[in-house]
Amino acid sequence: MNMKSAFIRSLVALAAAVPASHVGGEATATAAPQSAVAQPKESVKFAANITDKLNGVRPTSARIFEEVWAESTFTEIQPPLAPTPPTAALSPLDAFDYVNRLA
Amino acid sequence: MWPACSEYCFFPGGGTMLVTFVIKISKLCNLRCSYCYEYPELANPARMSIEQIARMFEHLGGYYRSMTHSTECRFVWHGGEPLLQEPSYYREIFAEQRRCFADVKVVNWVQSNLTMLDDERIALLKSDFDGVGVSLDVFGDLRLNVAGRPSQSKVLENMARLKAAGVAHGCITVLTKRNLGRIEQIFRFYESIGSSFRILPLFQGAFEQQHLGYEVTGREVLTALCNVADLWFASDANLHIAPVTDQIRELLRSRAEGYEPVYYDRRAQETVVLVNTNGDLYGQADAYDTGRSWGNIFCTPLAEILESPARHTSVLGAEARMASACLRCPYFGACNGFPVAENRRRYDDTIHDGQVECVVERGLFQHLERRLTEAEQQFGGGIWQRLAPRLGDAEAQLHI
Repeated sequence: MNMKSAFIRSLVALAAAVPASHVGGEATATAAPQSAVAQPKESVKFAANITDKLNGVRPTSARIFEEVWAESTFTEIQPPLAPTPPTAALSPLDAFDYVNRLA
Repeated sequence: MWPACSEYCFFPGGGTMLVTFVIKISKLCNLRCSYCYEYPELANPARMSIEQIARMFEHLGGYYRSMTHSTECRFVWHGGEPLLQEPSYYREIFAEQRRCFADVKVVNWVQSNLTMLDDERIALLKSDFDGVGVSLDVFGDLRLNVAGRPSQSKVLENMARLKAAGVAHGCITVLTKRNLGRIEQIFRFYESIGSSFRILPLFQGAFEQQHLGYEVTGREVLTALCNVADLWFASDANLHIAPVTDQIRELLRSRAEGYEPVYYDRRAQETVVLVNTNGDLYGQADAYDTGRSWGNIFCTPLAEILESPARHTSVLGAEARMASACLRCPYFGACNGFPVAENRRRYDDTIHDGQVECVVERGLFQHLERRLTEAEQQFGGGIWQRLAPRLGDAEAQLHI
C-alpha cells in the first residue's frame, strides 16, 4: 500500500481526529477533522448532530463478530457437491426446472 | 440496482474515468415487490419531462466536456419499472443526450423487472440501449404483481425472448432469508443458462419492519458469497458474478508486479450519483435522506452542486467510515474502500463497539486469499494466468 498518497494521509488524519466513540462510521467529531482538504464547518456540525440518530443502530455482540473471523466460519464451507449441470446452455424455464430438481 | 463497487474505480484502463448516474426516471411500477425501497411511490405516475432531462444533460455534459481527461458517463435508467415508459420517450431522451455529450463517451443501461416486454421494447433494448439488467431472485417469491402473485414465470419467458433477439443482459438477484439457503441452486441456475449475475444483499427498506422475516445479516451474506466463490472456482462456466469475481480480480491485481493501489477518493471525482425523479442528486449512502441531497440537477450546473455543503458533508461521512474501517484492513488498496464508504448501516451485525466492521467484503477477501493460497500450494504458481481468461471480459458480460 502506498502510504505516501495524499488520500491515505488525509484518512489517517481523519481517523486520528475522530474519537473511538464515533458511531456507525460517521464522525461524532469533537475536533475538526484534519483532512488534507479543508472541510466546511457544516460538516463537523452535521457529524455531531447525527449522533443521536445513529445511536439507534443496534450493535452486535462481540461474540458474534468474533465468530465471523473464526476459523470455523471457513472450514464449514465444503467444496461443491452438486451434480454437474448440463453442458449446453438451457433456456431460463428449463434451467429453473433443473435447479428445482437439485433440491 | 446500484452498480458494484468495482465499477467505481477511477481510471480502470486507458486513462478513462468512469462515472455512473442512476436515473430514477419514474417510480411507477407494475409490480409490488415486498422488499422494494420505493414501495410507497410505486403507483406514482410522475416522470421526468423531456425538458428536465435536457437540462440535466446540459448540466452534466457541460461539466464532463470541460474535463481534461477522458470520461465515460454511464446512465442506468431505473425506476419503478423504466420499461413502462414508451419507447419514443427514450428515443427523445437519447437524441438530447447525443446533443449534449458530443465528445464524451456515453453508455445507457436499463434495470427492468422484464414483465412488460413487447416487440417494440425488444427493438428499443436492442438498438438504443447498451445493456439490460433483469431483476430475478430465482427463489423466494418476493417479486409480486399488484394482485400479490409471483411474477417470475413471465420473467423467465421474457429472458428467453431477449436471448433469442440477441439482446445483451445480466441479472440481479436480491439475497434475502427466502433464498439464502438456495444459493447453490441459484448459482446452478445462472451457470445453466450461461448468464452473469449480481448478488445484491437486501438493504434498508422504505419503512420500519418492511423486511421483517426475510432480512439477512452480514455474516449470512458472507457465508453465501464464500459458497458462491467455491462454486465458481469449481465451475468451468465463464460467468461474472458480482461481487465475487470482482473481488477475485481485485485480489489478483493486488498481487501483480507494479500494482498501484486504488482508493475511492470522492474529492478527486464522484463516480456514482443517484438522480431522483425530481432532479435531486444524492450519493449512494445518503439516498433519499432528507437534507442530504447535494442539489438539483434540473436547476443547477453540476460544478456548482459539487461545491455544495451537503455534498461536502456526504464526502466527509464516507471518509470517516473509511478511516474507521479501511485503514486497519490488509486489503485496502486492493479494495478501494467503496463498500464501507457508500454502504452505511447495511447490516445490523456490522456495527461493533460503535465502529463499522467490514464483515462481508473483508471476510470474502480473506476466504478468496485462502482458496488462492491452497490452489498455489496444490498446483504451483500462475494462478493469475489460469484465472485471467475467466475474468478478463467480465465487464462486457454484465451491463447492469
